[in-house]
Amino acid sequence: MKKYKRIGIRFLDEDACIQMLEQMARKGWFLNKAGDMFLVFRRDTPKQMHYYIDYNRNDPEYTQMLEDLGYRFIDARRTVRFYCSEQQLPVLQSDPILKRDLMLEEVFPERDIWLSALLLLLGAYQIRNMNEISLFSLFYSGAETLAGGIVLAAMFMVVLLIVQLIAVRKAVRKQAEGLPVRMKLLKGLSALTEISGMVLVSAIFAVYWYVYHHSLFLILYPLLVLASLWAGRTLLNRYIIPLSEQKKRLLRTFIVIAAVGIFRIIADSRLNELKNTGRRTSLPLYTDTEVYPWEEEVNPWLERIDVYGSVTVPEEMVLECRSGTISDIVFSRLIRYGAYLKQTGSTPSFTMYGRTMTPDTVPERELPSAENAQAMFVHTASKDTDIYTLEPASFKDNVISFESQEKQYRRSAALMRRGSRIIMVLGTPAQIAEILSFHLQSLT
Amino acid sequence: MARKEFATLTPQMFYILLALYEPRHGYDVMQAVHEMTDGEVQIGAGTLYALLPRFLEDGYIALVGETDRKKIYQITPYGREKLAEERRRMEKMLEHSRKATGR
Repeated sequence: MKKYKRIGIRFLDEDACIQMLEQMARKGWFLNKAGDMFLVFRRDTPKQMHYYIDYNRNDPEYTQMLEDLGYRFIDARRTVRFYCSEQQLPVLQSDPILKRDLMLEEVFPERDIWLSALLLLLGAYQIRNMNEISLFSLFYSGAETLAGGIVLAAMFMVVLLIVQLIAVRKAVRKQAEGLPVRMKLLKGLSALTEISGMVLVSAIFAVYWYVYHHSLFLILYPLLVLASLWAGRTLLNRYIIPLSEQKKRLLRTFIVIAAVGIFRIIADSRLNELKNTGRRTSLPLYTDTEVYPWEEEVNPWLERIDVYGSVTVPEEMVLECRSGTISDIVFSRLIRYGAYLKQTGSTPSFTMYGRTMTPDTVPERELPSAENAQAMFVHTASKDTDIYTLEPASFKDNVISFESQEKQYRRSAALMRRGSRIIMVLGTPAQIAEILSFHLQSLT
Repeated sequence: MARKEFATLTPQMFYILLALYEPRHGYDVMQAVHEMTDGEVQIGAGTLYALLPRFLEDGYIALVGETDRKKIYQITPYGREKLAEERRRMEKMLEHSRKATGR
């Protein structure tokens, strides 16, 4: 049987840590392993056990002496080494000032500060991405709260980082002068950093989940970070042992940042490719999970639909597609919608990028079972980069409630005020009239 | 974190340096301090092995030999000087204390 206990900031308070370990032993749980995140306990008959914490590097002479003296080595976590014995032995660190010195070296400042800096970097990059790529912009995806959360968490982390830096500098100076260090403050800061880091990371993941509906990223991102940490540590331990623990930590952080950075650069380069070319076949970031049953054979133009409704269209059929990505979406959705309208007996006649689509240009296809659904589609854009789509949650919905769409109307109206133009409005005459009057009202 | 040279010696540092007037290996130092102070000062093994490399790095002590894979250290003239400095500081404190209390 195994039991895990999160380590967190326990190392900041050695006495409390030892007390906890001895309590666990009395309950029959014995420390077995000390990982980066967790202490692992194994089950045995409860008994009194004494624990000792040490911060020295592994020196053969020293290790041998400890063994001879009766200290049994359990495991090490970075420079923190755990020992135990059934008899009470003298503490390993008998000099309180030196102990604090060693402990501070172990805990501060690199780990937390570099962690904060890394998270901050990721957060900042994420925010930049969301603004740069309007297609993924949170503000067009109804995820303002999430975006706000990320910005707030990131800002909070900036403040924390600065406060922490100041506190650590002070602590180090005090420690050098032999004055007491305010451990409670450092503890609090460390805990806050962890919490805000978690908030930031979860918000970023939530965005991937919410906006991109893509679980791959959710798994890939943490996996990548963990894998690079593991690889970094293995490499360092195997080949670069003489480096000091702090330099190792720096290198590890660097490896993680580099790994994540490379990952993002690859993703970004694909995005840019997508933004700048009229034709493309795939985008690794996002796959449209809405699959319409009639989509596959909807039109001979559609060679393939693979990414968020993006299609590969022969050049001669591309109607003034200035921005590949956006027009692809519009185009594919129009085709879908056109096919749908035609099937329901409506007369599809609409304008797209200045061209009129007629029943002849819209393909025929089988439709989903919801007959006579009155779907509508509004698209506004400016300069082909500002995209906003408005459509029913599902084409299968028979009735579109105006209330539920009102927020979206308002948003598209706001876009128009900013200079966007309505490219196309589709719907029943009544709906079109309703939408247009709403827009006109808000414009005047 | 760049470590600074010790500003003052803690009692444990003081006794370790005292014990190293004779060439000794680690465990020997612990024993010597124990005997020297009649068991009043006990040097933790962790403290000793954290301090030895630091003393070595700062030039307070030097490596003078090795037996049975145990390193033997001894105090250097610089170390003695530091120890004397510490002693003068303590004597001054003692003197101040005598003056203030009249005993």
